[in-house]
Amino acid sequence: MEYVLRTENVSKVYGSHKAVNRVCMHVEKGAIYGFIGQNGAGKTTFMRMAAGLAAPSEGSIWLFESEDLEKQRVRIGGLIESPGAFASMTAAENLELLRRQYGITDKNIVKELLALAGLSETGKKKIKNFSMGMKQRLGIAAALLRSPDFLILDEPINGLDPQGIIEIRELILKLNKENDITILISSHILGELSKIATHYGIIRDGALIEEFGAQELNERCRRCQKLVVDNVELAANILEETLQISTFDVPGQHVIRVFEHLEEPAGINAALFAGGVSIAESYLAGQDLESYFMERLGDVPAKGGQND
Amino acid sequence: MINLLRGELYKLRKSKAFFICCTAAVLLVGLVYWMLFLADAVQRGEVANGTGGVYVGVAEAGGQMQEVSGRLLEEIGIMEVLQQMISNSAAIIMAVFAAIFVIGEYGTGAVKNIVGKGYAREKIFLAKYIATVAACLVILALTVVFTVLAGGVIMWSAGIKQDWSGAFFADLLGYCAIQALLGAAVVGVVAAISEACRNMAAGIAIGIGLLSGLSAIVINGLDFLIRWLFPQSTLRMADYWMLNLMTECPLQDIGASFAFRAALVSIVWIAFMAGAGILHFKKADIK
Repeated sequence: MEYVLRTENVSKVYGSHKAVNRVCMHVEKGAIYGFIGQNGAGKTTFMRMAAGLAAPSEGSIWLFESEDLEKQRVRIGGLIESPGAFASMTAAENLELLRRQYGITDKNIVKELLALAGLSETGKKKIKNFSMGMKQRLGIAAALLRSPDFLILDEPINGLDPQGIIEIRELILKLNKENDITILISSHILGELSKIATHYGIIRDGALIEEFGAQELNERCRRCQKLVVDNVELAANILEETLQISTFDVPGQHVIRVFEHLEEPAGINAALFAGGVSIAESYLAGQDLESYFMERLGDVPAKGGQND
Repeated sequence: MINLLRGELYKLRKSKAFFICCTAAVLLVGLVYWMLFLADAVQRGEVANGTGGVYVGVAEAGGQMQEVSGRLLEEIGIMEVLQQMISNSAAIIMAVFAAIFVIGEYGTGAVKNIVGKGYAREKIFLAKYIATVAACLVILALTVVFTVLAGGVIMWSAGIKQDWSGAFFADLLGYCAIQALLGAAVVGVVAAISEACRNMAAGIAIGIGLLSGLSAIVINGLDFLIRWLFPQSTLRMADYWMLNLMTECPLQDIGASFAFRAALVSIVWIAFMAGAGILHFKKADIK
């Protein structure tokens, strides 16, 4: 597996507060990695460390499988917290400044990026008169200036209108698919994130509690009939033999999840009961992505997302 | 490094603060000359004493005003005006601009675009430091040029013969070179402090405080302490503080020892503040 970003026990301590706690993150090449956590969970601090804006208190970071971070960071573009732009300059002037600082000889790149970010028409309008969404777009354009292989985007759709969100989503997908750019993205709009992310990492109180792929997430959120029974083996036998149901699993000692015949839960209950299985609980479960994440982030109790 | 300096140059070209500070420096020179012109008119009886708030005379203990002997515009020449302009208004303008130019980068978050992009942090700081000092030297140069040109015009219009000999220009050049070095050291101190505090109000306040007496109190206090601890010592901290040297710099016939001391003090302070700034910037978290 080739990783664009890999960290091992990375921590950041401010005084007595541990903002990031021994995070081991793995961002695969070509992935869109959705980084999820509540405000203050440590997302931005972690991203700042990955981007070289802050030094870890402990732990190791590898970029493109190399520890020579200064050299590898040339390949990174970032939009962290806010787009760093001079308020008294125009969008074109800000990009022109960066073009000069980066030593890029192609002068047309400024126009191209303005067009890509939908800012071609801003003309002489100063950044101080930009909306939040326009500033975000400029931040993304600036991050793309050096044709990065890895983009770090911290809340890039903050302040965007619905149309803007769609445009940024499409832009991110395009950059990932067509330009082969790996993307680490954080967002509070989880539904939106789930439309683009191929991998997820959940951070809580500074610690990365879980990493998983989008497929795994879909599996976890799949709608099912959940049964708590006294005899799992017998119940499984009845499901297979009597009801001809093959798509079910047994995630716990007394728990069975049935993924078909969801329109007739009472029929399943009756068949199991008739076969001698005692049912303690039976309900339709399944979560939307948002409630799943909320559950993982500790906002709601474990059963809070059920849809029965 | 060249790319970073090109970027800083571009920022300067687009910096409203830079042009405002340049304009302010020139306007202040004009204001001082206007005051002198008015005082000259008062002295020659063309306008009443007190016109435009300008009183010409020497205040004595009893509050009586006595006439000034000799014509003011002859007594106060171009070099004297230049001395006042550089050690007072130009120095403050330079300090304010340095604070704005350095801290503005943090206020907007623009520094994030360049830190962690393959450039060593020491180079990023040095580029900013060099550009800030260079921009302030432009402000200083404008002050000098405008003081000399406007002074020449005013002297000519007042019928006062100004010495434009080679000796005048030699003195002017020597004086300005030393002031430029000392001014660069002052700007270096403000730039490094601004990088560390990263707060516009604090940076400007510290810059002005540094120039308007705070450092004099500290330096005099240190001298008092040295004399108290070592009564035989001839060491004076004031001899090694650039602001003192700026005001003590002779207008004519600058001796080699003073020039050497001023140059040495400037270079040491410029290098020391650059080093301190680099050390801080290398470890600092960028927000």
